Amino acid sequence: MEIQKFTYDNRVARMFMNATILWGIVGMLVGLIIAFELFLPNLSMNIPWLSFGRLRPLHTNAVIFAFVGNGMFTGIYYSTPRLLKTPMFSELLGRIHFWGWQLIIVAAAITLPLGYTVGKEYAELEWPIDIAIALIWVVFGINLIMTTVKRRVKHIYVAIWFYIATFVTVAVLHIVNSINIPVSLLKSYPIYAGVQDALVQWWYGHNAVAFFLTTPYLGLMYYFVPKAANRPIYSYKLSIIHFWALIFLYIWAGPHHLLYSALPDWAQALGVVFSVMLIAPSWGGMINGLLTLRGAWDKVRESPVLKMFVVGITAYGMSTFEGPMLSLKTVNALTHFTDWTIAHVHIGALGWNGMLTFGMLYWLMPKLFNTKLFSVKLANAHFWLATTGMLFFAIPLYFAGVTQSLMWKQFTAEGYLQYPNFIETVVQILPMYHLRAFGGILYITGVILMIYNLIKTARAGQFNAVDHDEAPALAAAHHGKDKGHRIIEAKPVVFTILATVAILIGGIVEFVPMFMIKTNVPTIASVQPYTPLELHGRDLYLREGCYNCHSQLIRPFRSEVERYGEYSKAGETVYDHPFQFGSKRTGPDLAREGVLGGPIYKPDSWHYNHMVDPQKLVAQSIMPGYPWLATRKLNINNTPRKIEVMQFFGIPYPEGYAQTANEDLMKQAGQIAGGLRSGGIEVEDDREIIALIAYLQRLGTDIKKPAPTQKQTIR
Amino acid sequence: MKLVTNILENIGQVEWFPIAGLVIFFLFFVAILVRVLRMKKEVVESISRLPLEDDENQQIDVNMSRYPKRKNLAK
Repeated sequence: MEIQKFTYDNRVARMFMNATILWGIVGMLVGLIIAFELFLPNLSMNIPWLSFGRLRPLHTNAVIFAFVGNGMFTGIYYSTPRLLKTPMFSELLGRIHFWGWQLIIVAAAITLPLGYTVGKEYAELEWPIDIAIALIWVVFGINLIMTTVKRRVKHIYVAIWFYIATFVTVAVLHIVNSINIPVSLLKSYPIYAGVQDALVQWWYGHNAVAFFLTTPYLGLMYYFVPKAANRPIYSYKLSIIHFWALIFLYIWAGPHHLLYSALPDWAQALGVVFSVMLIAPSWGGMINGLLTLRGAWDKVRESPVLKMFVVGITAYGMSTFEGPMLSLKTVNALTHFTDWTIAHVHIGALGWNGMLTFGMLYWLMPKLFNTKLFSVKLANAHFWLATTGMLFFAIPLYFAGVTQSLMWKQFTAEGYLQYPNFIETVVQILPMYHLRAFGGILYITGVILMIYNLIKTARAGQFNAVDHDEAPALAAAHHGKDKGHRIIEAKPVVFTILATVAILIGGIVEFVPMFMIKTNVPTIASVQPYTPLELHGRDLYLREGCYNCHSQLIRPFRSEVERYGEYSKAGETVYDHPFQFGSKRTGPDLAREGVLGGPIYKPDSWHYNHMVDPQKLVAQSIMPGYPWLATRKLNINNTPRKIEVMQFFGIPYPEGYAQTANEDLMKQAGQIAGGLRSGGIEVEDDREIIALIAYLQRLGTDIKKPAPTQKQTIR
Repeated sequence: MKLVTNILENIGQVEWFPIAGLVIFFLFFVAILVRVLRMKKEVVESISRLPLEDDENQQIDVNMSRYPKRKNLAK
């Protein structure tokens, strides 16, 4: 048997490791800033790019795609060659992948605070960046799959399957959800509208959790936990079963983000059922990770790496139990749109992703630098800071979520809402926001300790650019007949195709009927396209990230109908590219904001003053001011192009309307601004705030109007 | 939206989609379960030791493992 010698290049893994640390602290600091903004709304000092609505997407994108993304690549570039006994397929592709990914992150860090956004959560990045992501993702995929093809071991270890499933699924999710039609270099509209857009978006959003935050990290768990504990995984058979069940079931669960929404009931039911079933494979992974340490708990006491892994895997178990529970309609009725969701995702992000990453870094840094960890004591301190920080973060928010939701739903004996003013329910939970920020400080302090510890560790050692290894060639390792699953796992291409089929089935079953059966989105004759001014206003609503705090979806509950007005219908959203249901009510729902005489209607002048200085009208409001809207001139040069794109989607603007749209726009703006001026507000027609007011006053009004005659296509 | 709807409008028999999805998943799951349960113990053990192997070659920490060293597959 010929023994071949080869090397593992550690340089790309080290680059990703450094990036993980850098973007980790950046993403978390932005998170801390917005946590403070929630009780100190004027912290942003009226600087547009510091306001909550613009920084929150930066925080989520930085933590998900920059911190966890680089973390996953660190682990993948370190473990894949070692598991397959071959160097990575291409060092060059690895570097292109690294620098491309960092460039994308920098582009995101610049464009998001500047307000360039598609307006769909976790898919905010505009189309040129989306294309770059797709290209770099393919580079990563080629490198990964080609490495498995030229491996020296017969069997592909389960960690690699998780990596391959990650590659395939994220590619599919990203491409399908990002099909946008450009208006300009940094502005585009998604091809889907309303409820259908919501279904695609949450299929994407939920599976970004599944295949960006979960599967690659399960892969890391299957490599680094055995490594750190120096023992094989508890049950390899369990890992096979839970892998297939997990990737197959996850893809169906997206609609649980849209319970009680205008999405058809059958799709909601499908989401619930598959979410509940997901407990089984998720806990299969958790059990496999934790039981690997059976008989080695003495090691856990001594090793900060294992401690972090144990808390990380436990947090995974907690959040994957919580997820299915939150998917039950009765529970969801209480928890949706509240801070419970925020607590839930942070158990996943701070616990599962954070702790697993930290454990991996504490293990990997000494390994790469041929030395010992600088200080186990500091690492233990980090462990406790992170664990308590996480609890201080999550527990107050669970409390806040339930408290606020119960207040929203509370009626008096006479049958009126007990807390008709939304602000009462906000003031009640502000102390919890303080505690959450304190939890964040603890957690970040721990990360700073880690950075110091890791730098000291690296300084004490010398970087191992290459490791040497040897193994027989794959041809020599082949012998005997293969049966069953081992055929699949020995053939990476077959495996990749099967994994793709598994994840496509769920998507197709949900999407095809939703798009082709007309009764799924019943049309409403009186619902008309937005006027050009309203369309611009809507784009400002997206730019300022209003959807991060305001939902546009009234659920069919008495408490919501009383508070906000008639519940939302699917047919009302058919012109919404993208949909704006939102997922959190830090402020009140805006779906019926414009309904004259409705429960939350406010006149134009109120909106103007409120936007410029919210605390002037609602003293305890935690909304930041948007005074720049009152001074900035609305850019109407791209109106024709915007109308053309809408016409391309099939929205019934009259033929040639693109060229005359700005005339209508000026007319409507003149009416609104004239009204404001007559009320003593000095404002010109062409300011951005006029467009935003036009949009807000349009919201939810269509179903009350009579259906238009043939000629009145535009209001 | 219309754009997408038009493309999909010509797909027939859509009501069978969920049922087919369920049946495919069930059969696939059972097939994997059967295969996995029939896997040989030595094979499972050798695969599950893959992450630990580069350390064995580098002679680090091997003796601390409570598990027997990898059995020779060729036997």
